[in-house]
Amino acid sequence: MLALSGFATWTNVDGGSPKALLRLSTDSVVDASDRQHDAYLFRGGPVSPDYEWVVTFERFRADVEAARTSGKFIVLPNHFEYLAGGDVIRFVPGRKAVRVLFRASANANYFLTTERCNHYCLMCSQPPKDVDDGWLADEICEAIPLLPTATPFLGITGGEPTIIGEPFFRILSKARDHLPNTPVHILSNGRSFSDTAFARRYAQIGHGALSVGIPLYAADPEIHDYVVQSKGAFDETIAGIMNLKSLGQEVEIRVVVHKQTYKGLTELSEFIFRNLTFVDHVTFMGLEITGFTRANMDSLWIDPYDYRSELRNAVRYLAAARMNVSVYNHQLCVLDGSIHALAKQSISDWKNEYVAECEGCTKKDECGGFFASSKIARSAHISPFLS
Amino acid sequence: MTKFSPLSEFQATGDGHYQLAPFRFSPLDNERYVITNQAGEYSVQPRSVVAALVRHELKPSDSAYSRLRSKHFLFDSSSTIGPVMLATKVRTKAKRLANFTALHIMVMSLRCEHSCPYCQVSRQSEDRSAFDMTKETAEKALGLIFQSPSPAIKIEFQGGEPLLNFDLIRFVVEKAESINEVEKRSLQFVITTNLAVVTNQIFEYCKEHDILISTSLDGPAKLHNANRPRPGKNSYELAIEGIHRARAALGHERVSALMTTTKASLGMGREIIDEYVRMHFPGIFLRPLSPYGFAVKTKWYASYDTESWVDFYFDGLEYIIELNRRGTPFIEFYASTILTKMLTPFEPDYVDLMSPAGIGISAVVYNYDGDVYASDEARMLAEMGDKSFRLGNVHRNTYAEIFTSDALLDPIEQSFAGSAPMCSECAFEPFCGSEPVFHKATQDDFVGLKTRSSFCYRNMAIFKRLIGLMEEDPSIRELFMGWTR
Amino acid sequence: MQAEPSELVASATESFDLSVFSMDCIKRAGYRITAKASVNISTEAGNAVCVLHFTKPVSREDAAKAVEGLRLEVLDQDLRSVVAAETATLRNTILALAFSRSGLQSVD
Repeated sequence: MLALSGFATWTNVDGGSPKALLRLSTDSVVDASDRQHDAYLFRGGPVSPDYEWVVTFERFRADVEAARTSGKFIVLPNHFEYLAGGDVIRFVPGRKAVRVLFRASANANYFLTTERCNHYCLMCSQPPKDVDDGWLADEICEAIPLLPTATPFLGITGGEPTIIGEPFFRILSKARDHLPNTPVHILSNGRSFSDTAFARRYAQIGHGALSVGIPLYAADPEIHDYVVQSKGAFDETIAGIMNLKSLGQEVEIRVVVHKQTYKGLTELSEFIFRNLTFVDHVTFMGLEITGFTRANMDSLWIDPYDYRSELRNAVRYLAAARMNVSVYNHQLCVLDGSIHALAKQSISDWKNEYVAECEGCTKKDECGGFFASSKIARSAHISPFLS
Repeated sequence: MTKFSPLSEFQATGDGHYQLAPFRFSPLDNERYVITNQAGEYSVQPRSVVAALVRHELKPSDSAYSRLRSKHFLFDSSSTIGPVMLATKVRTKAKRLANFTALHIMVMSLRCEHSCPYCQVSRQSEDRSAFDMTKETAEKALGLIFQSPSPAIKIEFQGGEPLLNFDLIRFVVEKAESINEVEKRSLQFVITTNLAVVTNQIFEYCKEHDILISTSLDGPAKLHNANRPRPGKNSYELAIEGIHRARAALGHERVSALMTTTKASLGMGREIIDEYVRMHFPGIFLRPLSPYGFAVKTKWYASYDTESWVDFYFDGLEYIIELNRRGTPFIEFYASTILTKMLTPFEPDYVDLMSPAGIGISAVVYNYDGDVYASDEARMLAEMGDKSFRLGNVHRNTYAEIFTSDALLDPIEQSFAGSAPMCSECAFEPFCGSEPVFHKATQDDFVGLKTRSSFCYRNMAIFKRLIGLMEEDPSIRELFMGWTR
Repeated sequence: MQAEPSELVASATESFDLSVFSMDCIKRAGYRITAKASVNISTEAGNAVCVLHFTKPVSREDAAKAVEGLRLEVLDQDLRSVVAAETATLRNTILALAFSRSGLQSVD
C-alpha cells in the first residue's frame, strides 16, 4: 500500500510561507510558464535553473545540494519514490506536510471536496466531520488546471460533495474547461438532486462526460434509511436519481453488500429494474473494513462467500434484464462462477493487495484482490484457481 | 460508539396505518393469489395475506409487508415517493399507445398455389387475378400509411401468396422508399410467403431493399406436408430449401418462420420444436388455430378443443425449458410476449394481447380490394361475410374517416379490458388483451362472456402456468427474464 | 364406479346475509361461475338466495364444490369492493400523475 501523505525530511522553504500545489516534472527543461506550480522531480543529473521548486528523496539529498544552490527544495522520505512526472502534491511549509493529490499513473484519482455529510452510514469509510473545510474546494479548483489533459478519469468524493453548494459547480466547471475529455465521476448520495433547481444547475454545467454514483442499499425505505442513518434519505435519493435521469444525466447505482443489505438484494435488483430502468449502471460493491465499519463489525460483517447466491441472483437478474451491471471489490474465488465475467478489477491500485492463499492462482490477473484493510476480516473461502 | 440509531427508529409503528394501492387479485391455485398493481407488477401471496392486507391487519413485521410496500401495493409513512414511482411505471407501460399504427399489412393477392384446409384467409385458386391488388389501390394505401404518425413504419406483404403478385410488391417498395426520402421514417418491409414460388431474382431484390422474409413451417416433413397440401406434395421440401436460400441471400436472422397447430400436431409438439432447433431458429411461436376462414369451413378449427391445445402448449414449453437446461438456447415467443408484460416495465407490441384492443392501433390491414380492416383477423372474418371491422376503403375514405370510424372505436371502447365484466377485476388483465375480433367471431359480441371464452381460458391457463413455474423454480424465472424483449 | 342417475343434481342453493355482503358482490360472484351454472338470485328475509342451475347435471360432490366456489367468490368480491372504495381517489391521482406530467419514462 502506498503512503499518500507524510512529512518532508528537510526543506529550505520558510515555515511561514503559504501552502503550495506542485506539479512534478521529470523534464530537465521547462518552459517556465508556471514557476509557482512546476517542480522538478530530482533523481540525479543536472537541474534546470528554470525550476523554482525541486522535489527529491532522502537518498538524492546530497546530489541535489551539489547540483544546485538556489531555489526551493523539498526532500521526501524514500518511500515516496513512487512519485513520477505529472503527479501533483500539496506542501504545507510550516508542518513540512506533504499530501499526494494526484498520481498520473493511478487507475483512479479522487478529489475529496468536503468531510461534511448529511448521512452517517454504518459502513462509512471516510467518517464525516462537521468542520469548515471550504478551502478544499478552492484547492481542487487550483489543482485541476495542473492535471495532464490526457487524464483518463477523475473522481469527486467526500463527505457529500454536493452539500458545499456553489463551489461544487465551480469544480465541475473547472473540469469542463481544463479537462474536457476526462470522464468525471461524482460519488454522491443524490439527495441534493431532489431539488429540481439544483439538478438543473448541474445539468447546465454541460460537461460531456459527467456521471454520479449514488448508493441505494435496499428496496425497503426503512432499511436504506437505517443504513445511512437518516430518515427520509430513501425518498430524496430516489427523487434525485429520477430528476437527474429526466435531465439526461448519467447515473450509476452503487450497492454496498453487507449483513444489513444482502438479504434484500433480490428485491432491490427487481426494484431497480422496474422503477429505475433508466439508470446507466448498477454496481455491487464489497465492504471495505475501514472507518465506521470497524466500529460496526458485528452488524456489518458477513463472509462474502455466505451471500454469494443472493449476489449471484441479483446480478444475473439485472444482466438478464439487459441492464449494465458490475461487481466491484470482490475476489473471484468467493463469487459464483456465472458472474465472474461481470466482476471488475476496481480497488484503487494503492489499496490493492493479495494474500498468501492467492499463491499460484491462475486468475490473479483478472481478480480485484483485496483492500489492504482486509487484514481485519476477509472471507474464509479464499482459495486459488489452479489450472 | 453509540452514535448509531437502531433499525427500530426508522420503522413504521405498525398500527395498520397504511394506504392500499389500487390492485387486483385472482386465485393462482387453491391457496395462493396473484395480485397485480396498476403498472402490472405482480406478487404471489397466500389468500390469508391478501385478506389481511385489505383489512389493514398486515403488520410491518410480517415478511410480506416490506415486499408489498417495495412493489407499491401499499404506502405508509416510511416513504412518500411511492405513488410518483408507480405513476412513472404506468406512464412507461402506456407508451405503446403513442406509437399509433406501426404495422401495415397489405394483401397483395388472395391467390395461392397451396390449398391448406386450415387456411384462415379463404384463399382463392391461383388463376383468378380478380383477387390481386391493383397499382391504384396500392398507391392509395401508401398515401394512408404515411399519414400515420408513427415514427416507425413496417409494411408487411401478405396473401394468399403475395409473391404471385411480385410486380406489385416491387412497385410498393420503390414507391414507399421514394416517399420516405422526404418522410424519413424508420421503414421496414416483410414478405410473408410459403417460399414455394420464390426465385433467385426475388431474393436478390429482397437483399437490395433490405426486406425480411417470414414463412410457414409446421414441423417435420410428414406433418407439414399433410397440413399444407400443394401440387407435388412438396410444401415442406420447398420451404426448407427456401429458408436455406433466403438465409444465404439475406442473412440468417432475416428469415423467420411461423407454425400453426392442427389436430395432427397435438401429439408432435417435441418433434415440431426439434425441427425448429434443427433449422437453427432462435425460437418458436406455438400458435393455435384461429376461428376464421377455411379453418372453420373445413371444421379444422373445431377439430381439437382449447384444453387439448393448452396441454400441447404446456408440453412444448416444458420441452423448451429442458432444451435450455441442456444448453440449447431457445425461446417460445408467445411466452416471451407475456413475460415481457409480466417481468419488465415495458409493453410489447402484439396485437392479440392488448387492451385497449390492438386493432387499428398497432396494426391495420389494406385488403386486395382496397378495404381497410382493423387487424389481420378482422379481414379474415370479413372474408367469411362479417364486415363488422371494416373501417372503410382506400378509394372512398380519408385517413380521418377510417381511423375515427365507429367500426374501429366501438369495439375498442366496448372491449377495453379495464372496464369489461370480469376483466376489470382480473389480476391477469395487465398481461392480457381484449381481442374483440375473436369474440365477435365466436360469440358474436365484441366483449364476450369470459367464462365461455376459449381466448380467456387459454390465456388464463398460460398466465397461471408461467407464474407458477417461476414461483417454483428461480432458475426458470432467470431463463424467462432472458426471454423478455 | 358409475354414478347412478339418482345421485346427480341439477341445481343447488346457497344464501348470503345481505347485512354482511352487498348485492353487488353477490351478483359479481354469480357472474364468475357462469361456466358451470347459471345463477338465479332472489331476496328473502334479508338474505340473498342463490340458486345454481348447472349446465348439465352434476354429482352431489361437484354441486357442493360449486357452492363452495360461489362462497369464496363472494368473499373475494367483498375484499375487492373494499379495495375499490379505499383506492378510488388514489387510483385517479396516479393516473393523473402518469399522464399529465411530461416527465420521466423508461426507455427500451
